[in-house]
Amino acid sequence: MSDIVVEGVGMHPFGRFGAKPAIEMACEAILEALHDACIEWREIEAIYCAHMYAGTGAGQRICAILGQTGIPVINVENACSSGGAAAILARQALASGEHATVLAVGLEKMPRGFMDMDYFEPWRQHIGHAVNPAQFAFASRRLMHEQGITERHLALVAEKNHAHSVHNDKAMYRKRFTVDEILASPMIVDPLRLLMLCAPNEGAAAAVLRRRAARPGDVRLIGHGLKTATRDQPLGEHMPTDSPLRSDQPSVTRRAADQAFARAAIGPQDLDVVEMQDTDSGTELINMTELGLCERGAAATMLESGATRLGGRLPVNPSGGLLSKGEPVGASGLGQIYEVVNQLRDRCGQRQVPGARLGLTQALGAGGNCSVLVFERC
Amino acid sequence: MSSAPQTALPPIGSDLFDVGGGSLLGGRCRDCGALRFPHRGFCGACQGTGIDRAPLSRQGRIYTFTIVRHPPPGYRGQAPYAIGYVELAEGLRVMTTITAEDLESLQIGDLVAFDWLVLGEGEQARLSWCYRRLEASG
Repeated sequence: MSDIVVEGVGMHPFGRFGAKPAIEMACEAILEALHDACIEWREIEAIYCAHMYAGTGAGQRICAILGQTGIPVINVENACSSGGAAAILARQALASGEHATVLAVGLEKMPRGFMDMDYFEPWRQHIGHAVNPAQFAFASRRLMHEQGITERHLALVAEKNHAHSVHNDKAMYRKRFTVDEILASPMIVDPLRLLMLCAPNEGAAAAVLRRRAARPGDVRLIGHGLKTATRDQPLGEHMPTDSPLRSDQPSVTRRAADQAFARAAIGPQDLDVVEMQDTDSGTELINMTELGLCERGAAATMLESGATRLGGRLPVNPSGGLLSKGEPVGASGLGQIYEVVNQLRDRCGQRQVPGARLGLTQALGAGGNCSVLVFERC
Repeated sequence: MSSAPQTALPPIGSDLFDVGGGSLLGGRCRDCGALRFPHRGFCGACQGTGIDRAPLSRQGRIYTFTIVRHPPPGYRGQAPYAIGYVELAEGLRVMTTITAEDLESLQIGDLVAFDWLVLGEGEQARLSWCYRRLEASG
């Protein structure tokens, strides 16, 4: 039986890199992934290139630099979930038998500050509604209202992820902050403060996937889910401008996770490590519930118990998460894959989750599109 | 910005308002009855194309909100300002600007009422809207 094996991963650090083009960052990430996979560029049979800001034909421009081997190149835009979507397309190409060795790469170079959200109509921008962290704030405020989450819990998520980041030399910020320092940082979109929000930035990440029988020690992709929000789900990152009052259907994250878990034939209780969309502190708490890591209403208790911290029962965002790495939107999903694959290969040094065998990534973007991937070390 | 009625100004977007009645204008599907804001030519529930214009409630309650502390790209007003979702009696939540004498005292559940809002000045002035807080809930 053939498996989908992650043959190699590479990552250009996330941060700010002056005039360096995103395409160049992608080339570096790809070369690292090829080296890790012990294969040559000419062995890649197809490329899935994730980005939002890189303009026309980013994947083709990568080939113009690394070598025009004439293979199919498909550019993928799915907002913050672009990288996950590219990885899922790469997987489909292998599973269908179309190709045996493919590359998924994500890259981005974003302006500073609030994202220019062309997801919304121009008049929404003019009246100040096109603010994506405001959507996270809406959901966080409901979380506080319904589940007794406090500002301190929001700060504790950020404190945890920033504490993890000091061990990750590819993160943008590698600094511990105390809960009090986080609570003293400027308010951006109530109740979310500066240090509870991730920064748009720059970076790239890549993964080489191959169809072959997995050997002991290999990392396999064993489950995947990709869903889009429905109109009757709770408010969240799908950024509705109107919705029905009755909005109690399962969230897009819940539905994508259910699909991925079913395909992997495991449950959330089996996981050893999770890299998830912590666009902001509130979103991590919501995702803990929606991914099934805890019961509804128990996210704060789980967080306070230290279970999601390095050394805990199920570390969440050991890389430091997007809160520390920043979020180059096209690259972030593949950055999560880079972390989880390296965790499963026991290559993460001081941030290693000991003995990690099963890991999950989750990316969630505008329009309510969510990709969930489950990996296993054989 | 001013909240005085200046309904002769060009609207910020097309087909958003019932100017005479002083309310938002939604769209209700002639076939299945689904209601949305703003009005669009297609029904997201049954894909019908017969959509009637339907004025929305002038009053509602805050479902959730935030105060945006810095002006985002393209914004023509001043920061800080509040936006959120307001629940309307006809079973719809709409994303809207929310105004209050004291933004810091806004709360979920507060009662709000439709009001006009003018963004920009002179030739750039456009008619927009908000829901203005009427009273703080318990």
